[in-house]
Amino acid sequence: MTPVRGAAMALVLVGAGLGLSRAAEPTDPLIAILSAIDVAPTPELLAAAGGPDAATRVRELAAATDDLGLANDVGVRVRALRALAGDPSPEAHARLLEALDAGAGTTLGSSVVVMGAAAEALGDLGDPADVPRLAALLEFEPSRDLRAIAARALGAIGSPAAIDPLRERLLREPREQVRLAITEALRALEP
Amino acid sequence: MACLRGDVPSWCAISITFALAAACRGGDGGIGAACEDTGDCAPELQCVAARCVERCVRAPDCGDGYACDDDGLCVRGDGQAGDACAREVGCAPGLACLLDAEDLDADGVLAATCAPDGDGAPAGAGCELDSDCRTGTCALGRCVDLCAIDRDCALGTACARIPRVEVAGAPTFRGCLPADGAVTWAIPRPGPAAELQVPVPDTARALQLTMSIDVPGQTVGATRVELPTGEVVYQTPLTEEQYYLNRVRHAPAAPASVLALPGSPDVPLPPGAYRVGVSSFVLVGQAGTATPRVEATIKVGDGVALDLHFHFLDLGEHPCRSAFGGDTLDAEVAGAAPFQGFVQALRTIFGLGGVALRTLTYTDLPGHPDLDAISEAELPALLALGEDRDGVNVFFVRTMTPAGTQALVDGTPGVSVGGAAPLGGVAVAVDTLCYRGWDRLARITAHAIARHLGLFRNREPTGQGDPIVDSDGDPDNLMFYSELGGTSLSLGQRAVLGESPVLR
Repeated sequence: MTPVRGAAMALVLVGAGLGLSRAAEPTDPLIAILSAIDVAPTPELLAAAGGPDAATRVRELAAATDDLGLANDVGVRVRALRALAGDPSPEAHARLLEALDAGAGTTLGSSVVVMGAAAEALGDLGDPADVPRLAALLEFEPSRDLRAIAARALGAIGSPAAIDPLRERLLREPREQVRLAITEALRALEP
Repeated sequence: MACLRGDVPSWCAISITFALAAACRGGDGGIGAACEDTGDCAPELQCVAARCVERCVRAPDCGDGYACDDDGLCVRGDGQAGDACAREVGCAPGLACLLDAEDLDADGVLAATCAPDGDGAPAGAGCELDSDCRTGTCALGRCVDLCAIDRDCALGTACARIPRVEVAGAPTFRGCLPADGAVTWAIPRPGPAAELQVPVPDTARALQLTMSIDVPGQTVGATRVELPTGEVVYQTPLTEEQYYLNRVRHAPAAPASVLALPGSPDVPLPPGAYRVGVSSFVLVGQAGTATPRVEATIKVGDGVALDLHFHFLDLGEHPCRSAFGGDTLDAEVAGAAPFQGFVQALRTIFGLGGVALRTLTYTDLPGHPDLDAISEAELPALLALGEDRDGVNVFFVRTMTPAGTQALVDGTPGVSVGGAAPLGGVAVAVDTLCYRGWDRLARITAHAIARHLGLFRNREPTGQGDPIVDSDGDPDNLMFYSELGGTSLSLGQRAVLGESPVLR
């Protein structure tokens, strides 16, 4: 059993209890950290919870792998993807791009949330090579939330290469939520 | 012996007079009937100013200068100007029972003397100075009548022992305070850093100090808390370890922070004068330049009803809209399932904690695209959109950053009462519904509201626990930091929840 499969097994479904369905008992410390309501999973927290293999396990949890038994636990995956912003390895970067690719063309809500987490993390990683991928998300018509996240991520990367696609989208963008995000990004990028 | 009409000897007339008088004891005079004394009135009435009126329940039923005795009869106070008094109703009409300026016999109890009424406000009205009050005593931001027993006070109020912090040694006196709910008052601001004395009456279940500033870049909070017993239960934590070592947990924050006592069944709340240092900060432990506003709130009584005010930002075209039961989620859609199932789940969770949801309101807040995706930094701007101070404001937003954040809270406890500090509340990210059901979102929301009400996480992600001994670190607990936790609450947690002044 791989460490991640072990983590999956730790998500034991428990009884319905008080009439409220209870998702799972987070007995695995790493899973627990990656299911925190309002605490960002910092590298320090993940290392403390997951030990020396924490980074590897987070990368695996960030992958959409059905045989892990976690494929449906989007919450854990979203935070694992977001946590990859603190992992400069090529493997982490590849996971984030895979998450964007997997969601392309979908309108499924959970996929949009996953893509948003990956886009945010790419923004924090700050690699100018990711500008084209994120700029493409500015055209993701099914979700204004994802377009806004992409705009913020482009602003966070700080590359002038993002200015043109942001300006171009601003001319056509109908949603104020996205227009504000684009304007803010351009303010950060333009001298 | 018979007494005949037209033939009434003097002895017979006397007999008749006595007989009539005897018949009128517990007599039949109704309300408004003329009377000479209470014996002329029906048993449930009394004679006041030559008219039969209802017997009193509390002294204010009788008017100024009267007490209400054990039999429900109004008794005129006989204290004259200059006489010692213990209660307002012991002084004759037109006189007030005024506290001495100092504790002359140093027995810890302030004596009082009858003196002419002032021209200020009546008992219960707001005040800043003694001279603002007709009876000359301003305490806890309200005009207070001196009392000896509850019956000396108006209905809904009780006779409490109150520390007089304006007098050296903080001697106590007994005065009428609300018997239920919360009492909030502003404490004058002496400067950016100061030590305050906060009076806590013997009827208080809990004390909260809400501190706030307007200067960006600075935080505000308590520097030190000393109980009337001399025990120091809090000092500004300079490290995370110190934060958890304090018996009372608190951390400075911006633009407001709240200090709550006791915060744990293991911390006492003795009545008396609490010494509390308050300061603004530019860095941890380094005093700032902003002068904090400070409001104190005591909770009295056993209020358990919680009002929730749901606010909906623009949730149209949301990726999780298939869970809404409509194209969007707004005040109208929230009136039906599935949102009402979510509300029922909240009722169930809080019911387990001994809290009953009471008034629920639903408000749309369109036109705030800047707040569609918020981080912790934007939370104050979102919470400022709330208008309700008599409950908890719950805001539903599209999403939060960083991704995976499901709820944000303004503090533990959050700002809830008073009028000087910015409004508090909680925010909930609706994108959770893309991968969790409404019942799970209810648990997340209940967790956030409970933190706003004063419960810390029973286990922090770092492994630390809360200040409550019996809550341990069980994942089945409502306050477990993970979204996958449960809904149980320990007895100690329920007790702390019940201390919240938000509950009425």
